[in-house]
Formats: sequence, C-alpha cells, structure tokens
Amino acid sequence: MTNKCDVLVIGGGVIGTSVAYSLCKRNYSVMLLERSELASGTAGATDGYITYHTKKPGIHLDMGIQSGGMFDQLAYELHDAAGIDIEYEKNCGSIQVVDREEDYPYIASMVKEQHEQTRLDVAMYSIDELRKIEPALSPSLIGGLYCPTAGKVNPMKMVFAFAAAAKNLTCKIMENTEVTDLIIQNGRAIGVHTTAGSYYADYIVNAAGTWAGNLAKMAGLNIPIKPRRGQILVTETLAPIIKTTMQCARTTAIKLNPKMLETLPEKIIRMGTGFCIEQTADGTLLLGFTREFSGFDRDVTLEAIDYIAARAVKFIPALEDVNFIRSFSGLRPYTPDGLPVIGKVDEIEGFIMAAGHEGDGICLAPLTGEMVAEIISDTELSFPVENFSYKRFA
Amino acid sequence: MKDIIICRCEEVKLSEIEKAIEDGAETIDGVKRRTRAGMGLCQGKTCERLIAGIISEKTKKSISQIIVSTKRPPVRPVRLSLFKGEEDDE
Repeated sequence: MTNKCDVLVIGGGVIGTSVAYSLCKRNYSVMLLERSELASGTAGATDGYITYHTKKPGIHLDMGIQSGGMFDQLAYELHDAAGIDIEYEKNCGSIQVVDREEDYPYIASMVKEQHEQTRLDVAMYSIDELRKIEPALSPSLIGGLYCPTAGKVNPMKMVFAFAAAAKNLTCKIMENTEVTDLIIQNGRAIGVHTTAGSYYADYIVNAAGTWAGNLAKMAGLNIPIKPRRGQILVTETLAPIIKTTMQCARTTAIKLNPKMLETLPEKIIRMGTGFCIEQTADGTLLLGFTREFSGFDRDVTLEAIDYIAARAVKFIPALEDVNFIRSFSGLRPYTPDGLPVIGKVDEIEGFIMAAGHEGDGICLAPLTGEMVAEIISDTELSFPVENFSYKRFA
Repeated sequence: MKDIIICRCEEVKLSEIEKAIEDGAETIDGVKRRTRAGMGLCQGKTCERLIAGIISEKTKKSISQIIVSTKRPPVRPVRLSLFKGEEDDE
C-alpha cells in the first residue's frame, strides 16, 4: 500500500469525513486517519440538530443557514453514493421554548433582529400557539421562538455515509491510526507519523475536533480548542410524540444578558444551563444537554441525569411515566467565541484547520467540507473564511 | 444459514451485523453505531456476546480482543419522574 496521497485528513468525525468527501468529489487522493473508529468521538455522542435560529445575526447565523440548506441535496447525494439514509428530516421545525418570563424579551428582540437581517423564517409564539404545533408541551410554559425550516439528521449515519461515499471515490480510510507527530520540513507540513506507520501528503487537514488543539500543538501552534462535555439521556422508544427539535431559551437569553447567571445556582451554571429534546427516527427521545468543562472526562454524572430528567418532565409532562434506558456523554470542541477554526495556517504551509465547531458540527459540516476543498483547490470560496482564522485568538 | 435476528430489542439481523463488519466495524460499538444492535431496551445485555462471537469469527480475532461496549447508567430502565432536578436548590 502506498503511504503517499494528495491530502491527509486527520479525524473520522463529521467534519473529517465531510472534508474527505468534498475533496474526493474533486478527484484528490485522500487518506483519512482516525485514531479510534469512525464516529467514535463527538459525532457518535450527540444529537442531530440542523438548527441556526439560536444564533444572533452575523456570520455564525449566516453560515448555519447556508450549511443547513445544503442538506436537501446532500441527503439524496449520499444516498445515491453510499446507499445510506442519513435520516434527514427536512423542515421538522425547531422551537426555542421560554420557561421563565425574564427570558422572553431577550429572545423576542433576537427574533426581531434575525427577521430583519436575514431571510430566516422565525417568529415568537405564545404557549397556546406553540401547543398547536407541539401538543405535548406543558401549558405552564410561556411561549417561544419557532423556526419551521430547521431540520434533523442521524449524526452517526451522516459520518458513515460521508465515509462510504468518499471511499467509493478516492479515499482510503485508516481506523485505529493515531497521529503521534507531524513531519515538518522547511516550514511545510509534509506528513505524519502514526501508530501504524508514516504517511505523506501535499496537504494535511486537522479535523480532529475536540482533539484538534492537541494536534495543532504538535505543529507548535496554540489554538484554544477545549473539550466541553455534553451529557444526553435516551428514553425507551415511543410513538411519535414530538416532531420538532426543542431547546430551552434560557441559554440563549443568558448569552444575550450574562448578568442573568447571577441568579442561578452554581451547579446549574457548571452544567451549562441548557436543555433540549428531540425524537429520533427510531422513536427514542434524546434529552440533553450539559456543557461542562471537565477535561477529556467522558463519564456521565448522576447530577446531570437528575437535572435533565426533571427538565424533560417539566417541558413535556407526559414523559413522567417514560423510562430512560441510557445515558451518554460526548465532548464538544469549544472555542472562546463559539466559532470554528477553518483555513490555512501562516506558520506552516500545507497545514489546514477545520475544527472547533462545538455544538454546531453537524449543521456546519457540509459547508466546512466544501470550504476546505475550495481552499486546497484554490477555487472561489462558498463562504468567506477570514472570520475563522486561528489568529483571532492571538 | 438462515438470516436470524441477533439483537431482539432493535430487530437487527445477522446479515446486517455481517455487513457492518465488512464495512470496517471491529468492536461492539462499531457494530452498534452502524446497525443499532445493542441500542434498545436491554442495552446489549442479550446480544452483545453473540455480536462479539460474530466479530471474532469474521475478523479472526480472539474474543478476548474484542472491545466491549461502553457501559452507562441506568442498569435497568428508570422512570424520568423519579428525578427532582433543580428544585433541590430552591
């Protein structure tokens, strides 16, 4: 087997496999190196939201809308290329539920801005109106933002579909192959040493997600991508009970007015103040989520189970008799400003970043893959890359 | 051999598990992520050993080398209403 190719992609998650697929469509020979197994990190331990309406107007929201819009074609394309159904549910809609009076004005003003500055279909609804869309919601809630164009997908299927489609083209996938060092010659990255031999390429893409900061360190770069743990509960399968994906608006309200944190117990702040709920194609509910800084620890905690389970029943009272059958946790690649790190690196030629998407990796993966392929092929960019430079942290 | 069901909770057939192994799955979790085997009500308590056996047979690895799935709470299904959450602090 040859150990030389055009592009080495490091990371077998949703970003790495998307990048590999976009490159293969342009006839690059690609090797994807994954230290464990495909979808064994963040992409295998998350929910499948394609949502953007939780963002303030700006590049983050714009990128989400553009990348989210790519799923329409992508789902068909991957089905044809790989024979895998990624369980894309277009326009399932999403609700940001307000459960505290004080959050309402912040969400309402964000919606107004979103509406004025983008073509996004969003509006505020009272709880009575929301219950016409989702009758399972508790009447004790206040109301919320509804975005009918949001979607959902099965993140693991998405990784396997990207990988299989890339493999059917020009990609070789190497699992259980952990990068131990980068090979840099005259300021250019030319290859990597791994636990399974050395590999060489013209370009090296760092799509190692939560672990991308460590990989960048091997290149002498300090890129502040940190693991942020998200715990999720899985219920037994139910007949369809909700069709939208839902998040609690509290986290967004706090982002818009950080002072609100002062009124919350320390334990809630530590767990990240969030809540979300989604029913998968298989009928299970995914109840989330925490956002905790606890290093690379992927344990689940009783504290988080208690917090999430109680919030689930508060939002949807019918869940009180429902069992949960599983808990899991995944590490989200956090960056200080919430935006990913994408693009070339000045210090080392041929080394390209594509990581740090935190909770938006699923939604932003299709566009990220295209952007990296466009950077490598030096063609016109689908989305401006300047804002994603690692230099903003300097 | 007839196509039998290996994971009873999620009704995953032997042929689907073999296909997952051909696709590169070499661990219980690898099969699980591709097929849902072990994701159901019993969380793999019934099928996990069978799947380990199939992986071992297909990959010629000894069964002791096959990585088992990550074990997570709860051991048995638990009702959501047993938890009180934030109210503890108020």
